[in-house]
Amino acid sequence: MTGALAALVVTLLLELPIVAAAYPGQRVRLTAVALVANTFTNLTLNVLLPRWPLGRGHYILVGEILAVVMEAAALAVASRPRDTGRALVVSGLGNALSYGAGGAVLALLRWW
Amino acid sequence: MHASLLSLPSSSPAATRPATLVAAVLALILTTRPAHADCAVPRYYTLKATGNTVAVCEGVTQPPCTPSTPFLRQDEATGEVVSIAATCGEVRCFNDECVPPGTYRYGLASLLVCSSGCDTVVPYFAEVSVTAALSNCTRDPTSPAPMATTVNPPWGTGNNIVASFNCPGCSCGMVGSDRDRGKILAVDFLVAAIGLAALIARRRRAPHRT
Repeated sequence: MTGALAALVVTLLLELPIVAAAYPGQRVRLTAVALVANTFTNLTLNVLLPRWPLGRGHYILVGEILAVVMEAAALAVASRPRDTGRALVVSGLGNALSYGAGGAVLALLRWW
Repeated sequence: MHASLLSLPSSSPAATRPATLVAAVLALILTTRPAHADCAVPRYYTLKATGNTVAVCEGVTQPPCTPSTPFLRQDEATGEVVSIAATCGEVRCFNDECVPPGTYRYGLASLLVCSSGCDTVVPYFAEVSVTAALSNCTRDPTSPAPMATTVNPPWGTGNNIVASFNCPGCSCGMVGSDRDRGKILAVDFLVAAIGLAALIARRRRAPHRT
């Protein structure tokens, strides 16, 4: 579980600033929404899906798709006025960043 | 009004900000080779000795721990091997109780099935040392009992111990370059591209409304 929490922290460190920067007028509220959505999707990916027999072998692909869609949906629904385009951009870039660079950041933090 | 990072004002100094953000994200992603899923967690075998009990947990790269795929415990000093027909529970762990002092290798008796996923180095076993003297140890009747076996561990015996192997297609997902990496990034960028297209389309429609 410690590893899952570390992964969650790194994911939040990478994705929340993107949300905060993308929604300057609703920064606090949408960052909080992203915090909740990311926590849910990240723990689903790292804790629940590995134990799901049908997802074995491709659970990360399944988890990543769930993450990008659910986080975009959460931001789109919570934004005022509703801004689906921006939510998709933010979720897509944020998840690409945390997927591509998250491991390197985690390794850096552990080294530090 | 706040200037949004993702709005696209064509004539303001902020026009370069979305491009800069996208370029920075792309650079980070494309120059970082080890694949990690939404910053996921590498997990293999983890062992923790408390007194004479060793908590054995298996990682997600390994096949399910069931009595039909038993764990092996090898005493590093004597080479003695015992088989433990454990069933890992919800947290994929079991307790090996009443373990005498010594240093041991624990690992599954059968190799994991490399079915799909990624190229990665998978450890055969993990090591643990038990230092507590064994006296009056009573085993929990629900805990799996080790049985003497003549099975050779997949990691070898004597001086021919191999710590890990390369699995060309296992369900590891964390370390190495997994085959889903391209698909995952493609999905993420497709989602971002759809959103960007929606933003641009809305912006083009905006002058007609005003």
